[in-house]
Amino acid sequence: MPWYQRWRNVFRADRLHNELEDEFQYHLAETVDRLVADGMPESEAWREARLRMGNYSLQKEKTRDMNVAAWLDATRADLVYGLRQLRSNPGFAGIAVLSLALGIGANTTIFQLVDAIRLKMLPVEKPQELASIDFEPGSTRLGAWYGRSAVLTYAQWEQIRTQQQALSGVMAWSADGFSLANGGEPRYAEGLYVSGDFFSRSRSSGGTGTHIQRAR
Amino acid sequence: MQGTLTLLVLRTLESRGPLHGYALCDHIHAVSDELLQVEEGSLYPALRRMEQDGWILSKWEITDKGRKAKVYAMTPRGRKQLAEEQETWERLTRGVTRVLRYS
Repeated sequence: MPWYQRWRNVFRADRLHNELEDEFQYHLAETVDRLVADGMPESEAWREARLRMGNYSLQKEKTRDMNVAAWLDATRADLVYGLRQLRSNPGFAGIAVLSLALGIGANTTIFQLVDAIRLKMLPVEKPQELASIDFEPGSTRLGAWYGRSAVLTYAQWEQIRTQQQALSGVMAWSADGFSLANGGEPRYAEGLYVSGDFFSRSRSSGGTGTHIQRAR
Repeated sequence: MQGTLTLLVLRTLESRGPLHGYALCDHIHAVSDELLQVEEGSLYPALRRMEQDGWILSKWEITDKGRKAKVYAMTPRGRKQLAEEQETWERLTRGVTRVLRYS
């Protein structure tokens, strides 16, 4: 669509707007006529008529919004214009399409990798049955906690563990740093506190050493 | 009430023929023994919507006072819509009346 037709579209929206304005003006004028006929001074009648119309410009906007057809038409025109521009600059279009294709392709590949390695291959027996119980991200509670979101307290975890009926079992963990040294110079390691049945519940096949058991 | 405005407008256009917005308000107000007051601010959005649905048509006319006014007239589709809405309304009021009378 050539540029002057696009401009005409803009003017058409304006014309629609003017029509509305005229219609409101007519309504106001008639209301004023009647008020004046009933004995109200004219200046006061205008004010009163406007008041009766309610929020004048808001109503105008609302009525204008009804014209979805005009909006759709403008969107269609933009699309056609865009396509035409792409066709007239094949070099630019090629590079744009290529970079989009590369970007989307790379994203998809990375997601597939992460999905396969991190999500589907968790070292537990039935990773597809795992679910996470937590506060809503970004939610708050009283007390102190690390990170952006509230975390469950030990008391809350105990309630969940004893009362939940939806899952075959629940386990809890908390990330922390530990010193592995037995006195002397500390040897720092990243680790997790885990609940007693963490290993038996998950039937984890990962790691070596002795798995702890749930306390009797 | 939501939805009754189209019913009122269509019925008024059926009985009175083509009218402009102000006369519509006036007629509904007068015929209902001043019980119903069409809110002017919601009338025009409703009229536009009805026009887009093809129930009414509009054209500009010069009134005898020399003012430009947009006059609305009902289409055959509007007539069908009116029959439907009248039916719905009667069913609704019958139902509500029965519930109110029940003791």
